[in-house]
Amino acid sequence: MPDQSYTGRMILAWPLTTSTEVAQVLRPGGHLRPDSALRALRDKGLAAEAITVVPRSGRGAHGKVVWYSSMMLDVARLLRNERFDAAHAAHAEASRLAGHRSARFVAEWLVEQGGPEPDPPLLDQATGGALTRLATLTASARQRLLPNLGVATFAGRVADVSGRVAFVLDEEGRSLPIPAPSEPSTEWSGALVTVDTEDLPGGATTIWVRPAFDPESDPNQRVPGGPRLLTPAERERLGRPVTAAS
Amino acid sequence: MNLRPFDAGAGDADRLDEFRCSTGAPFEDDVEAWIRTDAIGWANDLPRARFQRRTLALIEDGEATAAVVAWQDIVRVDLEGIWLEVLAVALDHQHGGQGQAAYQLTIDHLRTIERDGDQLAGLVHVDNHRSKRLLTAYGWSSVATWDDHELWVGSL
Repeated sequence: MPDQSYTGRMILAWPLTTSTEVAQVLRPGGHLRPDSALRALRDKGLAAEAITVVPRSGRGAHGKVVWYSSMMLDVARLLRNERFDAAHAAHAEASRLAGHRSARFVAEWLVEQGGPEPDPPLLDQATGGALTRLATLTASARQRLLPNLGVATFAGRVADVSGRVAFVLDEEGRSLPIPAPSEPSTEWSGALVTVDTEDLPGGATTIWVRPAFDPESDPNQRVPGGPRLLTPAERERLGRPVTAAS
Repeated sequence: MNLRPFDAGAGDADRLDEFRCSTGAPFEDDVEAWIRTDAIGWANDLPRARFQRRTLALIEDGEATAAVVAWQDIVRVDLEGIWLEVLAVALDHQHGGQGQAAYQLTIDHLRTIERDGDQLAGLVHVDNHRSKRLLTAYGWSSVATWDDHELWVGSL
């Protein structure tokens, strides 16, 4: 019999990213230009496939935001760590996700309504859950690649901000400290986040904090509940017929 | 048997309201109640219905409604394919292999529609042993518990 029950809801990471964020991951603490980051990836056969280009108003040639699959952050991380095979595997996932039907729905909304700083819950609601689907598949791909990524990851809600430290209440009820950003604590409190902790060469640790959202429940489902990822053990059961209980 | 989409103009709302599939088990009562009170809302819940490609359909046997079936894209787990929200066989068709015939007709139809993957998935109540036996016979597996249901997965 299966051994894991499902009762909770998932916090999902914002499944899109920009070249600015890619540059930060490719060279932590450095000043790599976003276009240089994209070129570095392209030179290694890891070109980022855009999900959509959203114009800003009145900003001329620089007035646009190009959104990519957030898997490109993992591609950048793996390239930095010279894990080339893993980087190409992650890149294949990023390209698949960028072309996914859910990404098309998200892209259409971003172009028509989103602007440069879209609101994830609004986007998810307006697309009928396309953002949730894209985020679920992205989280699934990350889960399968996680052994190669060299990061520990969790998600939660910022429960408290004290000086330069924020405490994130994760999905298992633990309160975990992370460095607080420079934004006012009133804007940061209550925010949903995903946190990747990465050990860098030389003993340094970098904590990457990304925005997240909580999928809205569907009132018409026959069995209530949000999305979830299959565990590795559950994935193993796929294709393994079981005898029905009698 | 014939499978066709729900058609409000053809009096299908009344057909759903009159549909009976429960032999008295609480989980069968729940399915019957969902078909009678929630299924139309589920199928018309925009924009979810559009993105998730929801379809509500009736399986007819002559003039009779032999089964009600509802499906959509899988969005509740990280698999790609079709999620069977409901496949309920009418009380007067739960014998003589008609349940299997309704299942087979549904699957044959699902093979023809646009989808992102070949996986089939759905939630089956833990006490619904008849459905589990049928799904097992068609190669489905129980892969996870989901409150008082199990997540069953098959393939097209």
